[in-house]
Amino acid sequence: MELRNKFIINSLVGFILGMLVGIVIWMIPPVNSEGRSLIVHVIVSGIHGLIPCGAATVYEIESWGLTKQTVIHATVTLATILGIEIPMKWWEPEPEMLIALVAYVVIYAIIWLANYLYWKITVADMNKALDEIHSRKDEMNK
Amino acid sequence: MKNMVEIEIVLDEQYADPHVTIKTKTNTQQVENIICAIENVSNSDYPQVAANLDDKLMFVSQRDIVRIHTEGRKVLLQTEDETYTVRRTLTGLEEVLDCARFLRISQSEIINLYKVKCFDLNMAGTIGVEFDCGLKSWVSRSRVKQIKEMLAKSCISEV
Repeated sequence: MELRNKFIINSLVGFILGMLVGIVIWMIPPVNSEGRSLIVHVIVSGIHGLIPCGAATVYEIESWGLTKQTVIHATVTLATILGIEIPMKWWEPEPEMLIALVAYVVIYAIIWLANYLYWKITVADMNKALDEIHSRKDEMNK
Repeated sequence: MKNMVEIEIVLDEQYADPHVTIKTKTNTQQVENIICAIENVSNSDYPQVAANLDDKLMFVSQRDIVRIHTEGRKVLLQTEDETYTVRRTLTGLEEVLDCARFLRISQSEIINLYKVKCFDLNMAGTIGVEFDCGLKSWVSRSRVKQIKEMLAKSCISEV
């Protein structure tokens, strides 16, 4: 499937999921008691879901390494959180936010590390199979 | 005196492809003819690839191909010594290439698995592939499963 189509599908799925989550959160009393418009809340929630899900398409770009993909996705998601949630007053920026930010970075680092280790083991297996083929070839050439 | 050729067939499971050894006292024209005949049969199963080098049309044996990749709008075929241009798409080439030897590793590249020296993973999370001749390229992670399957059932028989 073309990258553009994957991006559109991912974004659409993200938008719908975002709206659904927005509706669920709207039902929580502190959220809907602050005089906000439901429609605005749902649409912005949809956009909040659209951006990170659309950005997940970066993992489909073959020529990009895992590190680049992870950093870009983490940055886009963080920008979405800060760019939408604070203006929408879904939470107030406080000093403790720094801890949350560190935790956010640590979580992404763990995700990257888990992926990296998985691929490292996979590549080792591939090289092991390749070595067996090469040694068989050397034996036949003797 | 008529020179007779003795043919001995040895069935051995480790040889996925036929492995031909010619034992002879001297390298005569008859031996050359035998080699030609065998190569013709081999090429008829896996045809040589037509490619251009300096405006000349050449036919490249599949076993000599290291990789085929796109560069802009061109399709380039690399052996250990030369780089040719090919007037076919990668998909078109996949249809004629030996599927037990050649593998698509990304949208823009097909490699000869028998020419691969090793794979590696760098800190950027890119899987690299290094060939016996020193050339390097990269592998799409989405193609790794197919590579592993091909490695699992491969048994090189070429010299």
